[in-house]
Amino acid sequence: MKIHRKKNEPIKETQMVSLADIAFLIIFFFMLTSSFMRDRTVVALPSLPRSTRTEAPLSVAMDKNARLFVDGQPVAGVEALETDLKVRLADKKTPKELEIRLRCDKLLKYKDYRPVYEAISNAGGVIAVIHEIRTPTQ
Amino acid sequence: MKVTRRQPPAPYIPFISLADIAWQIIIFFLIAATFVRGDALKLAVPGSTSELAGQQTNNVTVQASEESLAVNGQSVALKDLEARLASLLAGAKTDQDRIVIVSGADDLTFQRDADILYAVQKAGGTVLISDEPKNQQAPQ
Repeated sequence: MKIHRKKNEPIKETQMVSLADIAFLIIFFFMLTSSFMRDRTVVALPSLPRSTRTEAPLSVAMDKNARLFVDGQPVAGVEALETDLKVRLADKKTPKELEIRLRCDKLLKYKDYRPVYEAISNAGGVIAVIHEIRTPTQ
Repeated sequence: MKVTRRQPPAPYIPFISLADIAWQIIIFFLIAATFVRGDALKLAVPGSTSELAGQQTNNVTVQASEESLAVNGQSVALKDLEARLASLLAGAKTDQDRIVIVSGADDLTFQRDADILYAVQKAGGTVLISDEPKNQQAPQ
């Protein structure tokens, strides 16, 4: 009788060492591509159909209580906002550099947010109204 | 008798757990990150109407309140605004001709204003915010 002997097969092992390399690559990607958000003001944005995109780093926010923030820092009023923006935009030249992200609560009334338009415009900024994307059902 | 000594094992650092740590960091990033919205309606607001005083000819005016909307004094629905403006701006040749002066009533909400400004831009107009807010209601 022929006895089949078990062959000493090598242990099958999945090489997991490279997984760490892949994971670290993803981490580096995240770290290099992400920019830290400075403006953490909670604002209910208006919804509009898809328009254009802005890469503007400077942000002006007005919350539902009509409080003003520049890059997340509270500002006393529109006069202070205009002064602040003039300083920040002093060395900017191109329209792209002059863009300012305006994050305004959708329920704010015209009398509250209109002076902000004026302040940004007087400071030489280009207003980029940040909005949500409106879905066809909305 | 010769005693053969077993070779000491080569030093080995287990790297397997490093992958787990890295994935933990990735998951943390994904959960903690808030994606910044970049969709924006760009307003080329040249300033106020006073800047163009004396130059204005027959610019289109939009009067808006929360309840009503009028183009050159004629009432219009928000959904028809873009088409109305497009027909009015059809013959416009210069940037000056494409100016649409938007004046809002105090009760106009930002959402509705944004809808109006979007329609103006879609119709090919250049928004100019009126100097004086209009408190009166636009014609019904």
